[in-house]
This record gives sequence, structure tokens and C-alpha cells, in this order.
Amino acid sequence: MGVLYGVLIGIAVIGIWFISVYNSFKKMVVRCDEASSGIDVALAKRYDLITNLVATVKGYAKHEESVFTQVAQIRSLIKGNRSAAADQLDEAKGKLLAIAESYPELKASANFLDLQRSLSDVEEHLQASRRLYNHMVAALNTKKEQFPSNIVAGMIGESGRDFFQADEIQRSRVEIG
Amino acid sequence: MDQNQIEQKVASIRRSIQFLTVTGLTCLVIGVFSFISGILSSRQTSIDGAMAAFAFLMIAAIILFVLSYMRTTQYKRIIKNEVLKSCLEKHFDNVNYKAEAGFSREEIASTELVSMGNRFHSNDYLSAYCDGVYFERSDVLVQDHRSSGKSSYTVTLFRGRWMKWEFNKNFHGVLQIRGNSSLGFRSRKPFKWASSLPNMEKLTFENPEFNKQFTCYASDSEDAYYLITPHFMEKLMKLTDDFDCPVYYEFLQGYLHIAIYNDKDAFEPKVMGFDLQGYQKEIDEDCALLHQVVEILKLDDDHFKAREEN
Repeated sequence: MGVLYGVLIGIAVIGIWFISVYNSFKKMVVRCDEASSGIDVALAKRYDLITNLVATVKGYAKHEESVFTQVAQIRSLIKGNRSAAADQLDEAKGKLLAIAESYPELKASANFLDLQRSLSDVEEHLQASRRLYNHMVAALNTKKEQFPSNIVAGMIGESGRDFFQADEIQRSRVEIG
Repeated sequence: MDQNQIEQKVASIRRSIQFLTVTGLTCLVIGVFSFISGILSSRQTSIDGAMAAFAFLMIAAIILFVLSYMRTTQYKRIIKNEVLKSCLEKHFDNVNYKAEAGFSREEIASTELVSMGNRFHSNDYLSAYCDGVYFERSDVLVQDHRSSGKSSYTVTLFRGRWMKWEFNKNFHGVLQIRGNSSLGFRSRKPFKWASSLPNMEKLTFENPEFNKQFTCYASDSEDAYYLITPHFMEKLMKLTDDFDCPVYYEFLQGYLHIAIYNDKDAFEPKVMGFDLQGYQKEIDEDCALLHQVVEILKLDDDHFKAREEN
């Protein structure tokens, strides 16, 4: 009888531990997804701002068609390949700001300055979302690798997440302002 | 009033304070002696005379001390209005200084940075623009006074400077950054059921040194990461090291609150051994600290938010 109780208590303890680890994995996954959606929101905001910047620059530099077309094509990338979309937005923004350098009136216009400021702000939000996402992913991946939570991770098929990588273009992005 | 006139006026008030205090103390001492001699005397007439002298001298001492107190208040008011205010105007724009005013208890309590106790005092309120950045500051004292039977004790929960800076980024949540060695401050997460702040969650950042030095609670983790960039973490650590005393930071409703528990009451002029130039130097050092906050934290950077013209 005593052995049976011992086994039952052991099973209960393992069950409780399993449930708590399982829940903490689920919580971490939700937080990673939440942080990931933050990146999407910031990228979409950034795209909208760059579109507005295009509209402002267009008023002064009508012949810079290639940049305007490039921006128009980026939207479809945001949902699919976020990293590529981020790179292309960086590139487009760099080109737009370089164009603005040649037009002092555009550079001094209140609308352009406002857009520049909003762009800096949204870049900062994007950076924050990326850092938060990577922080959450690091916590999830560490837990997935550590013993004994790696047993639960294996049982529930938790494979972790990939970090949001900044590639070379993003690393050498153009400073504005 | 120019420097010489101020010095003369201050010196004359100080002399009268010294005279009133010394005379008051003399009355007190002589009064006590008459009381003792009255008690020790065996003749009824001597007792009556000594007691009459004692009563007269006590009343005189009280009047002299009240007058001395009133002159001290006047003395401090003159120094604060003439010397302090002009020093502040030299450093800042749109200066609004009120010696008797301060932050309200409700405002300090709303930050939930400090346990509020049952005694609160705040004075030397200043609002101005420092290098184009709007700020408010005040001295704050928070104590908890308890008495049981004949014994009573007072615990000081906070004594120092409280600053409130307009922050150069838009944010919606609340972020508390608590120094891990900050005695006297609230050391734990605000209780959810007792807190008026939104649900706060403990956060860590990428910098292990920062995580070691501070404990952060935020209502919105993305907002917190937006405010606390790797560069800003370095700046906060530097600023905290420069203060060399427990410091707490809180981002709340567009402002950055900085609570510095330095156990000092700033801007208070001494009555004895007052040196005008020394006092002005102290004020300049205090103002330099405010410039330092703007400089280290780059609060005047308008890359993210347009600043209102002052």
C-alpha cells in the first residue's frame, strides 16, 4: 500500500512539474509571437512613413522614378520576408534622404522634417521590437536546451525560434537628421 | 538689489537674529537660575520675587525666540528671493521658483516609487527650461512616524531631490527603474491589488551590468525596450554613478521622474557662518547637476519628438 502511495505521489509531482513547464513554454511562445507581431507593426508603420516621404519627395524630384517604384514593391515583402523587407526599406530610405540632400527647399520643409522625426521614432520602435523579440527567443531557446525542461520540449515538439538577424545593409544603415 | 546691498541687508538681519537668540538664551538661563534660587530660598519674599522674575524671563525668552524665528524666516526669504532666484535665472529659462511650494503628496504617491509613510513635506519648487527641456524639481521629505505608549520613533523613507523631466520620446506605459542598493525606497514590486499603476512585470535587458544594478518593472515591455536602448542603459548607469547615492527612475505620463535620496535639503541658507559667495557656488553646483542630467541623458535631442517652444 505504501509503495502504491509513493508511486501515486511521484506521478502527481511529475504531472504538476510537467504542466508547469508546459505552461511556461506556451507562455514564452505567446510572448515571442507578441514580440514578433510588434516587428510587423513597426515595419508596416515604417513602410507607411516611407510612402509618405516618397509623396513629399515626389513634389520636388519628379524624375527619381526608380526609388518610388522600389518602395511600391516592398509592401508585398513585409508579410513574407520581413528581413528582406527591412533591408529594402533601409535602402529606399537611404536613397530618399540622399535625394533630399540635393533639394534644400525640401530638406527645410516642415512636412519633411516631421516625417524624418517620425521615421527616427519608428526606427527606434522597430529596434526595440527586434531586441525584445530576440530577448524572448533567447529565453525560450535556453529553456528548450536546458535539462530537465528539454524533456518536456521534446515531448511537446517545441523547436524554439530563430533570432531576427540584422544583415549588413541594416548594420550600416544611413544616419538621418 | 545689487550684491553689496544684499550682503548688507543679510548681515543686518543676521546680526539681529544673533542678538535675539543670545538675549533669549540669556533670559532662559537667568530665569532657570532664579527658579532654582527661589526653590532653595527659605524666605517667602525671596521665593515670590524669584518666581516673578522666572515668569517674566520665560515670557521674554519666548517672545525673543519667536522674533528670532520670524527674522530667520525673513532672512531665508530674502536670500531665496534675491540670491537664489537670480542664480536660477542665470542657468535656466522661464524660471518659476516658489520657496514654500512643492510637489503634492498625491503626485509623489502616484509614482509608487516611495513608501509614503504618514508625514510628507515638499518645498523649494522650481519649474523651468534647462537647455530647452522643461523640468520641475522640489525637495521632498517622506517619513513614517509611529508612537506606542510613551515611546515614539520616526523613520525617514525619502529625503532628497525629486526631479520631473519632460521626456523626448512618446510613451504610454509605466516603467520603473529601481536601483538595487536603494535603501529607503520600495524594494519590491508594487502589490497589484494596492497599486494604481497598470499591471507591472519584471523585465531584464541585454546588459548584465544594468540588470545587476537595477530592477525594472514595466507595464508594456515593448515600450520599455523602446525607452531603454543599450546606449540609454549606459547613460543611466553613468548618471547613477555620478549621483553617488540611491537613485530611482520612473517613466510616467510623458515625464521621467528622478528621485535622488541624498539626505539633503537643497537651497537652504545657513544663518550662522553664512557666506554669500559660498552659497552662490552651492547653487551653481546644484544647477550644474541639472545641466548634467540633460547632457548625459540627451534629453534635448529632438530626433524623436518635436519640442514645444518655451
